[in-house]
Amino acid sequence: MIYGARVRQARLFLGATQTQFAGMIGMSQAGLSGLENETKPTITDDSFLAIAEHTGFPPEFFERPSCGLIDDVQFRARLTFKAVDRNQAMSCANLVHETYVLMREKVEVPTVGMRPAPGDPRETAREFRALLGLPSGPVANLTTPVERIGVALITLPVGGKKHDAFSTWQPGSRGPYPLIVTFAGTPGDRLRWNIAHELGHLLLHRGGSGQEIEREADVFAAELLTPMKAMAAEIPARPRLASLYAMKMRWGVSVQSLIRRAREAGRVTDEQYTSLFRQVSARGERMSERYQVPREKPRIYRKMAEVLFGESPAPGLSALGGWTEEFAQDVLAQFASKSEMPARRVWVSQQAAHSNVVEFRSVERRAKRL
Amino acid sequence: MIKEDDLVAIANRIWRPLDLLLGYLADGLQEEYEACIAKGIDPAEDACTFAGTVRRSVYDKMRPHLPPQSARAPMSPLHFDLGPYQLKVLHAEEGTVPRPRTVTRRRFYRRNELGIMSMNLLLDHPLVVIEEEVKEIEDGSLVLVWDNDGPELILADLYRPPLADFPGRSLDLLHATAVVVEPDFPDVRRDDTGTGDSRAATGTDDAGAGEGDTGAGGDSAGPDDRPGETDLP
Repeated sequence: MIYGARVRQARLFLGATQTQFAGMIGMSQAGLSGLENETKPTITDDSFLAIAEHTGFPPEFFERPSCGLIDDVQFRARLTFKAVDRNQAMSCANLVHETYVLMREKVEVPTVGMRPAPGDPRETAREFRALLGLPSGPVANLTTPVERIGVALITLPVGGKKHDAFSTWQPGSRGPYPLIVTFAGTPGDRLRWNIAHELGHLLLHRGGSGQEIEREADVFAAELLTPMKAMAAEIPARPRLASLYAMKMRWGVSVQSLIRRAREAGRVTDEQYTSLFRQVSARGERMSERYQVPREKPRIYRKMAEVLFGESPAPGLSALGGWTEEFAQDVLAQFASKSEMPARRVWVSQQAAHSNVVEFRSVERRAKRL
Repeated sequence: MIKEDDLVAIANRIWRPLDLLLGYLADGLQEEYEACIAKGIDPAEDACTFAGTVRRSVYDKMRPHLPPQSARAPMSPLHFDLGPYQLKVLHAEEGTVPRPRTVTRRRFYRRNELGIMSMNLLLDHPLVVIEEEVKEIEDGSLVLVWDNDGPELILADLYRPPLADFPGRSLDLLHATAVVVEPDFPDVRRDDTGTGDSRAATGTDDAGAGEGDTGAGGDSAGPDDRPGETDLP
């Protein structure tokens, strides 16, 4: 016995239309459509094996019901985003989120510490910064504090050139939890922006769509990552592109977002603003800028898998999801291992009471001072 | 204009490039030292040339992270534009900041001056001409001085010149360093109470209620759009 919804899920993940997939497995399109839409269709062994073979999913994947399906959400996506890409991304998101839900049943996770707070995006961003305990300057790492307040961050092992991100409040027995889904391959600065943007949606909006809510989410993201107070102090008057590239390194945001902030801070005229963007375009960097900001990896999904399945959780995760072990490895690779937890060197004037200091330099100085 | 600032605060503000730099400096030193030994060359015989090869190695490692204005010829001095700060990396002379033998270096050392020589670097150098004009600085000069004992990095001091109301000082990056790692989510652990999100996991109640519910459009579907799921924490 198999579940038709699983066949559809696997087909969409493959990126095939019904006609294409029907041809692959030797069925008619109508037959496949019927199969996908029946809850528990009957199927010949040959067709079953053909489906498993062509989709790459083990037979047991089709023999279990799906759960934890993500609501239909609109993607923040590029203009080139096609329906087939969207379906593929959504199918992958559901596959991964299903295992998240199953693990969440058995593992304690951080309590959700945020709630929707519709209001002024800038003010909400400032309050949210305080909630996360972020310093007044650059946000060294956004992912970890966001996960600490109970946001489920999932990165999918599919390309981020076409997709950006999406978010939704998902139901759960302990109450709804915020879910942000991002994609592999997204440049580090854009990934941070996407997460900040989606946080804006989660806090400010109750669904809906349109340019206005997108603008509000952008305003929120800009204030979260680059507070205007700091920008006003740091962006020089009439900045050159080179200065903004240097700021990009420190602030972990794109040069293009800094150009926008420069205009908002009154550091450039409209003419200079246009000129800076023209320079970015002339370098061919509108979609992908040089000088990459390191990508941040979420941790909790992998940590949940480690809690349940040990330090090498791929076999256990593949069994849980009905996946191949290779796919489980691909999924896990999107998340930080313990050794990949964000670390940074801090310079302390005294032995500051950092509870999470793991190493103090105690090298004996042997400088050849006179 | 940069306000006077504590050197520790500055170091933490530019921690990312400084962190990279220290790591690459230690690695480059080790690699170049071993390369010299493998070729039968004693690095100590020509410390200046050896420092240059280390500099090149560091530059090669830093290059992918550099903004364009920091891009220079491979053997150029290590000079980085870090937003409001300009950082030069110099091999120590007698365990401290090298004397300003060139016009460029003198100019760099004086970037922060307010009518007095900065960092006490130039006081013992007879060639320095003290400029009359007192200017408020637009940028801040920093100098990272390093030294080695064989393949080991034994000195990494960050210097910040004095400003009007801020005494010049140096920060010992090797000693005053702590590596801070985010704790690994100690609250994520096995839940043996059976109070997990079991309803969602069954896919029959809550999760099912969301399926096909396209009323909540946009990037973010709001929690209040689902009946019975309005109680946020």
